[in-house]
Amino acid sequence: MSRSIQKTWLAILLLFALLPMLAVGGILSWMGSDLQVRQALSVQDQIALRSEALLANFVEEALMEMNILVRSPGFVSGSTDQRLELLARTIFERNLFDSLTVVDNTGMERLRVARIGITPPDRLTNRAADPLFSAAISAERPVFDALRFNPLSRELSLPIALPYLLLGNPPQVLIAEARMNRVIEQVVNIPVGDRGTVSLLESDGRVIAHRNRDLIGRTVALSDWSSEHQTLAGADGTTVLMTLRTFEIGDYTLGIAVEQPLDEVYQPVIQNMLVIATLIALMTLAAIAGSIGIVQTITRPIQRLAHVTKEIGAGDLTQRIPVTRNDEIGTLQRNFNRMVENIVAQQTAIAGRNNELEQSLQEQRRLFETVQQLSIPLLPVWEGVIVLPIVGHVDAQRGQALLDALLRGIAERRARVAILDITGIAVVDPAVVGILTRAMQAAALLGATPMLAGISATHAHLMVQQGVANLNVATYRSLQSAIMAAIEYDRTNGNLKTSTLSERRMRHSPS
Amino acid sequence: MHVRMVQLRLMLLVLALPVMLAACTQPTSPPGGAGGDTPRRWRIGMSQANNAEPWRQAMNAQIAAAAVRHPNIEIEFTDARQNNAQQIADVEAFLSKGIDLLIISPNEASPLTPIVASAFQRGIPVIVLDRKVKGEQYTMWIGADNRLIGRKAGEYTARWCREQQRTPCTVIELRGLEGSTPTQERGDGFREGIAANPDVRIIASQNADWLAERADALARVLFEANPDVDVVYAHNDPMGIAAFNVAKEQGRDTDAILFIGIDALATSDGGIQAVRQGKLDVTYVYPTGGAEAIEWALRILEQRETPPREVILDTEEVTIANADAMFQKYGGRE
Repeated sequence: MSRSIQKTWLAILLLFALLPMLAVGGILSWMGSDLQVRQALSVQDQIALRSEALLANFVEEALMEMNILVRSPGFVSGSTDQRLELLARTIFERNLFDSLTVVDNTGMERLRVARIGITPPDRLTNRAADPLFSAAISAERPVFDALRFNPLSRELSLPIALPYLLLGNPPQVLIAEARMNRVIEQVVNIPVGDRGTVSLLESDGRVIAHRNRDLIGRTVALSDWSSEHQTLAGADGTTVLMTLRTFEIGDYTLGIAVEQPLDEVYQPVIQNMLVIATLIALMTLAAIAGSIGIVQTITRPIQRLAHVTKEIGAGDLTQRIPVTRNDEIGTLQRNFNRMVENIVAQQTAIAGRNNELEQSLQEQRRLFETVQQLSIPLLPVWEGVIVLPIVGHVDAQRGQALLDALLRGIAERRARVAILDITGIAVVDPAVVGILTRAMQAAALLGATPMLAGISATHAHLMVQQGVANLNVATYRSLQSAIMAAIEYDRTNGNLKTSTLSERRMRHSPS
Repeated sequence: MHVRMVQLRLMLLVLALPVMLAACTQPTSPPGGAGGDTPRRWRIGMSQANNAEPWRQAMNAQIAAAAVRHPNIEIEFTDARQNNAQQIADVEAFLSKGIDLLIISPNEASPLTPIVASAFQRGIPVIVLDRKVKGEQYTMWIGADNRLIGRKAGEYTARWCREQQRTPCTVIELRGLEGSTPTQERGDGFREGIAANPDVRIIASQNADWLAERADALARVLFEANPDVDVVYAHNDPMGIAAFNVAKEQGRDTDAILFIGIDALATSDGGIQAVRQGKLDVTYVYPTGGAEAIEWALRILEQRETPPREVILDTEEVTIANADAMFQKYGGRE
């Protein structure tokens, strides 16, 4: 009973409270993950933009530096030495270029200053075959080449060729190796989350700059170079969310890849989901515990009530229910107890009455016994002579008792004469006569001579009227005469001085 | 309304709890300052960025040596092994243990700023050594001026070139890690210094990243490419010594070349010893500030002095003339 109440309650709780909560949690998590991805991508976009700005700024600065150099008066109209000094100062003061080379329109190097040293005139070479030179001389605008790794300085540098005109001279080209390494270091070290990275890719997907130097030279399999956001195996092989931005330096295209491991992107979502799940679990536990508690406050008194009613049903009326509450259940408990009190009170009253009845019954029975004893007094008046006075009404039951008493008396007293005194008898009717007759016959059978005494006129009249006067025993008017006759009979040893009623009647008549 | 008040109080209690706990772990200051008969023992935590660097070892050694002279100082060192997270953990450990003053030589400025600030906010004086942290949340900074050192090296070069009558006077520069502040400052200062003598010309410059082995490889190429070299200016002593060794190996007249280094550590392979051995002609002490840190620590703790925000340490020039004395002064052992 109580269990089913609990089950029902829990089912309701699950259906209407926890399932919606789970649904809401699920929806929130899903929305959160979507938001997280979008947020991560937006951060990546910003980082890509910032990286591009840094790189673009550097290229611009390098170009500006070169333009200033070729337009400075010392360079335009100075001697070779002055121009060389200008180049050297630019290299060693500004720290922006790894080398600066002045090439004439034939491709011959005229001046060259590198951070490794100033190239002596006899070591200058011809750059006519250098595609950068030919591109610059024909394009008449700055031309860029792919980033180069300088094994000595271990730096990446950007080759730039700037064609320029000196008054009255054929065009010349200033070829520079711009030290892009520093800005690239800055870019690849921009933090992207905890484990995300910024890397630079060649257009064929080759990694040219990465925070982890071991990954430089690897090729990233970009499924679609043009698409900006993609999920793919990143430079280190893990699945990443990547934002790709192409950065154009003249004709040279560089890819800026901002990537973040997918598991890191989803980390906050997973954390949120864990928090939500924990909360739901805790709330579920609390709800279950709470509802069990609530249900038990109802079922426990009911169980106690059931137990006590069972005991009372089995007859134990001492059982009571402790009143534990002050609410509806408390009222029920109080009312129940009152009901039991009531039953107990009624039962006590009935038991009292029963007791009284029983006592009076006992009294009556004792009286009856006394009366019975009194009604059958067996009097031994002489040796061998017993008298049985019969007083009051004689019915069949009493008749039997009389008979029993008479016979027991004859046997016990070894009586030879048994006198039945009917002086006190109330009514003599045929039934009484029958009883008397049976009693006397039975006495005779035991060897005792029966005598009937105390026959009053009324009795005689009655007996005659009813045709029962023919009793075949000695009869006497009074007990006294009967006793006298009995004593005599005993003394004469059996000569009864009596006769039947008819004989005596005859005998008495003359006297 | 009432519930809100209760919530507010609870929140305040929760917020106040860590502060109270922190307060419990703090040693109580003696009332009235230096009035007691027995001098109070001061616990100082020294968080070092990286014990693997000889210069930082020297800093620790100088701090320890200075602390030994003050028996009421109890100092504990930690080594972050060039790891910001480790250094943050080190400082946190100090704070939970309870210290009277923190000396920190940060590995990097930004990541360590918050933990230094939190120590400072707890009322613990913080002396920052060498590298700075951001913001204002520290008691004082003690460090050297790299630009000044570079300028002195440059001035020495200009003077030497004039004395030696080298025209032009060519300089090869071995730089530290490109992008690091000391590299920038030592390079710029040097250029300021040599400006006094127009004959001095830098003809080559490479980044050897503070490392002797890199300097060795670069010096070979540089000497190859530049047969006439008058001065080798190295941003630190190990790079200068490496260049000297290469020149020697290549059979150059090393006496004709001025080898300049910076740092002047009094260790067996340090700059002062290199000057005594003739490998370097001059080097400049890049003071660690260890002794000064202990001196200021005592002034803050015992005299309750308010220190200046910055103490910029002067450098000392080490040449063959004073190398023995300097070796002695900075606690070098043969």
